Amino acid sequence: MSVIVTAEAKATAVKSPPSADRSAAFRDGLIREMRDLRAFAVSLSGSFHVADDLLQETLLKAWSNADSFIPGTNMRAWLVTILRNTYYSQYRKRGREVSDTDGIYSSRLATPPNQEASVDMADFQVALSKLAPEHRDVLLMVGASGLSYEETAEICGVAIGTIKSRLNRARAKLADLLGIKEASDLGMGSVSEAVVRTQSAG
Amino acid sequence: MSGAFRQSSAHAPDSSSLEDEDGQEGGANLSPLVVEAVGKALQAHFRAISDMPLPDRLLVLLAELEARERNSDS
Repeated sequence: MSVIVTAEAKATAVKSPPSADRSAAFRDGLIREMRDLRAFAVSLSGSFHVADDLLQETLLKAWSNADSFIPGTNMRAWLVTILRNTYYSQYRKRGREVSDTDGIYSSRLATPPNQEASVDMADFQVALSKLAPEHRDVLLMVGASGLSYEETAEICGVAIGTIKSRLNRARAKLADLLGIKEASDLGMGSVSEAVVRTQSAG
Repeated sequence: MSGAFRQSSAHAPDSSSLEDEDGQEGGANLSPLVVEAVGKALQAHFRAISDMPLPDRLLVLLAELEARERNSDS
């Protein structure tokens, strides 16, 4: 059984009056998911500006399609589906693929005065944005957003085995970009030391 | 010098061109520690963004939608 809405589920869902569909539970759920969804949008697009546009569109679509959300199913998966589809249908096609790294560097203005944190965020985002889209997507869905393999497979339209395979490759590539290596390669006793050392090395 | 060159523990050759159905290999044999380190870095990145307050434009939009909802209910 699908955990996210399929066309079939939509057709069989009981239609209720529009005003009753956006229950308090639905609205509360939506609001609760917003900040994590924004993290997904920023990491996906590499830009705060694009992310907030995406988020706005997703919010509007979710709101007007509240009757297609089945209560009790995973709202996060549902929202990620909408947001990701919006991104690929609108933003990728228009060629807006350039990462807005400046926007992320300048986010230090909005965050606590921890300069290192915003530089690290920008560096990490640069690495993320270098991944192939299908690799980055599975990392963001499974590794960061906590979606299941099954949900992710359904959203991406591929087999679960393909998701696992992509996840493995994505992690390997990201580790490579971040300079995270096997501790034994560096002659050190722990990976945490290795991470610290590679970060300070630039 | 004897034994100067030793094979590292047997890792399967990198079959990065294959995408097998059960996804066991996926083209890389990643150390669990590396998997953990990547996961933590990713989650820290995510958390740094989700800890930020939502921008005003989204809060305003939410408020407008809520207001419309209340009006249509009455």
